[in-house]
Amino acid sequence: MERETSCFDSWLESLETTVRDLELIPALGTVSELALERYGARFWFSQMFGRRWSYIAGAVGDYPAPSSICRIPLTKNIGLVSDTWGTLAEGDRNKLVTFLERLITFKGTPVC
Amino acid sequence: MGGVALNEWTRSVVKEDEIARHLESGKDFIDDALVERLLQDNSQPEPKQIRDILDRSRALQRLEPDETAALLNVKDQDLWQEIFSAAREVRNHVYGPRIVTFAPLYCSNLCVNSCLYCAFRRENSVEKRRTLTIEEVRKETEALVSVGHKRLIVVYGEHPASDVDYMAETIRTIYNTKVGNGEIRRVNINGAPLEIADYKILKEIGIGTYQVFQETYHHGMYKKVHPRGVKAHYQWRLYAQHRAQEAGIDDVAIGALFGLYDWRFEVMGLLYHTIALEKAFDGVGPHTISFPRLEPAANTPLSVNSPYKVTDGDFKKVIAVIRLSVPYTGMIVTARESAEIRRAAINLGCTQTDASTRIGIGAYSESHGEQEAERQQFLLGDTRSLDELIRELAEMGYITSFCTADYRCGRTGHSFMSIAKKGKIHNLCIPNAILTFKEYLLDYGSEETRRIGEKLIEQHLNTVAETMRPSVRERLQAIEHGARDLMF
Repeated sequence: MERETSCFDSWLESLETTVRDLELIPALGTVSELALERYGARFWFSQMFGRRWSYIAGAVGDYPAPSSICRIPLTKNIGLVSDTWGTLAEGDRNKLVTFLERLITFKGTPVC
Repeated sequence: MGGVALNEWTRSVVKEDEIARHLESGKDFIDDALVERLLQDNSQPEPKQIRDILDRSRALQRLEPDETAALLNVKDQDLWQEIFSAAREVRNHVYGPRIVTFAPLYCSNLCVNSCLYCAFRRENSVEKRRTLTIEEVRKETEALVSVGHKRLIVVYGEHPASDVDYMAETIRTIYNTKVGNGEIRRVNINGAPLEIADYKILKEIGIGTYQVFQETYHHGMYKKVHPRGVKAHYQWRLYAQHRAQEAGIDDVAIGALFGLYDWRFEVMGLLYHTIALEKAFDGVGPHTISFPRLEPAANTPLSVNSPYKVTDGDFKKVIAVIRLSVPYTGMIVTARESAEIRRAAINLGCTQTDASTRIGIGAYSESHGEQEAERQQFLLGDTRSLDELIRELAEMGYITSFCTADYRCGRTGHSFMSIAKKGKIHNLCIPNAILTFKEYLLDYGSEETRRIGEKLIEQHLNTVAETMRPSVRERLQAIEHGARDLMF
């Protein structure tokens, strides 16, 4: 477990470098793509308007996953949706959420 | 508001700069002469050409205007049967055996326009005018939630009394109204074309789809039947969905009122509108297409006398050709139509319909008779209850879906279209339809509907991928134990 956590930390560090110069939307798209590729965790991002979550970036599945769909508000306006959130260990999920919250805060809210 | 102030308001609505940037050399995307020429040039299609076109639709390719024109010109009845069969095939391939259900909620019938076919027109003195108060909107919503509805389309006349602030307040009220387990989970709007700033206000509230009907795509006929008012501006209306998309509303809907002009022309107009939206917004066309037929309306002679009224036989052709022309887009048939036509429409390609419909202002919560022409925009053809409709659909093999998962899970606009265009949306629709159908049966279904419905759920579970079946069953059990609003 410790070794896995450490791997995830390293992955997050490399991710930070990868998305550093990207605008918010492509940065979120890249995080989604790389997490799917590396961990099989599929998630995408939406702007939240009341009940409506409008797609902005990431890999949306065209097939349902057996697990429950999970919606996590990351900031006041942006949320993450995943149908395979349980693929990641709980500690890694928390680290990823913290990373994404920082990323969005740093890069700012998208403008339609 | 007095007549002078009303006229001033009307003049202030259209923002020319929000139209001009979409025009090419001052022209919009409907070229009447070109449409007429395409219909003329493809007036004698060969059977092989038609079968090749059907194959393109089966491959979920959106048709080109000349291909749609060819379909519209088929005369051979046997070939029409092949077209109907292909339409059914495409519908079932893309969406599967489910139909989404909703109810319309009319909030106001005050209108600044003078549409010759509409009972709400400004000059119609026999219409009883009213705008619902917020408390009345809450009561109407409660009445709709109490019979099991989860999705509404809210309808407003074009008038300062039902401007964007009123729309926003009514939608907030609808979303905040709860009755037991029930609530409205998605509010769509059928409203007047707005400016971008106003669309942004509605976007912030979390609306579903913004729907505007062009009524007729033919410039000359449009001018004739819309002599005055904001609606007289063809291009302001034509680019309503463009502005909504620009404001960030990525689910928009189009429609035409069949019976104002030649039905073949209107089908071509709907296709050109789809193409224009797809071109402008990275492949994202309309979320749904509607094709209501002109119905009788109080003190409205054109609604009865129009020379372009569409027969039942031609209406089926309209549905099949739209289905094949845009294989991946939702199609709506409403209670304007008789029960018999609705059954045919659903089999031919429609994916959404309304139920327990009342279109009088305040008609759900007040004890109005079933139909009152002076409170309605037109007369309905089918006023059956939601339970009755669901039971009939179940007997036809269709699961009624109350699913609102897509727009609450970021499967909107581009991401929704990318799934739908691959013909894979049924993978998500069917499991979600089963879950929401189960909720309905438990909370609102009559004994007879429950019996038929439970059997149908078992049948449809067998069509869900084996890997998914245990998860769906697990959620069905959770719903039986009181869980609600589960989704994939």
